[in-house]
Amino acid sequence: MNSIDADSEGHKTNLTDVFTYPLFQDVDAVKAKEAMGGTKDDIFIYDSSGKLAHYLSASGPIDTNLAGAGYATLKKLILATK
Amino acid sequence: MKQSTLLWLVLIPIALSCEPNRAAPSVSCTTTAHCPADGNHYCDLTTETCKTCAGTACGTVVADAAAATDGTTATDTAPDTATAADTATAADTATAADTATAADTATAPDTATAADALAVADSVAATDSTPSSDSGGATDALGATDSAAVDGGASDAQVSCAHPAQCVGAAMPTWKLADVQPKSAKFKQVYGPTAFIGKVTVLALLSGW
Repeated sequence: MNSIDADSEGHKTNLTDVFTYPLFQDVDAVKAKEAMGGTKDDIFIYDSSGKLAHYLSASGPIDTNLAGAGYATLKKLILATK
Repeated sequence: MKQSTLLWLVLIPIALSCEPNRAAPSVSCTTTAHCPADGNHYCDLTTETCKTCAGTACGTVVADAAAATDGTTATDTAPDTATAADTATAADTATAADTATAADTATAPDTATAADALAVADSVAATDSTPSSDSGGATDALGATDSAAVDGGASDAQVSCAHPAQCVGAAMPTWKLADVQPKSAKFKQVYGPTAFIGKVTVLALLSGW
C-alpha cells in the first residue's frame, strides 16, 4: 500500500517499477494506513485464513530492512506461515 | 532349728521379694476422675478402663488425654489450617470464633496462591498458544535468535497490541482501495486484502517518495 502523502505518479512509479505485486493507493476517504495503526515500512503477514500471523513494526526488534538481514527474516516468516 | 522355723526363714524372704499386686482395678471409666486418685492410675480411653501408670508419666498422659478430649475442635482444625504454633495459640487463647478466624487467615494465603497459580497457568497458556498459532514452522525456519525475537514480539503483541489490527490473530482489514499496479491482473480495480484470503498474504505500508 502506498501512503497518502506519496500519491503521485512519480512516487507510485518508484514502487511499481521494482515489483509486480498489486499496489493499493491509500486515500483520505479511506485512510487505510491509519485504520491499521501502522507506520511506514510496517509489515503485516496474514495466514491463508485471513488472520494476522505476524506484525513486524518498522521500529520493532525484528529487522525489516529488505536490503539487509530483514529480507531473509521476512522470507522465512512468509514461508513458515500457512 | 526347728523345721517350721526354717520354713519361715525361707518363706519370709520370698514374701518380701514379691511385688505387691498393682494390677489395675477393673474399673470402667470415661475420664481419669473415675479411676483411683492415687496418681498411679489413668483412664485408658481406648478400652475405657482404668490402668496403672508410673510416676510423672502418668500425669503427663492424663493431661494430654484431657487436652485432646477438651480440645477436639482445635485438634481437628489443626491439620486443616496451620502450624502447630498457630493451633496451640488458638487452643490456649481463643474461642471457637477466634479459631475460625485463624482458619480463615490460614486459608487466605492458600487462595491467593491458587489465584497466583491460575494466573501463572493462564499466562503460560497464553504464551504457549501464541507461538503455536504463529505456527511451529516459524520456529523451525528461523534461527534461534530470530525465533526468540519473533515469538517474543508476537507474545507481546498478543498481550498489549498497540492497535487491534496489529494483534496476532486479528482479522484481515476490510477496507478497499484502487490497485495502481499496471502489472497487476486487477489494475485499476477497487478491492481489498480480503480478496487474497486463501493465500498467505503480505501487506507492507510503503511510501514511494
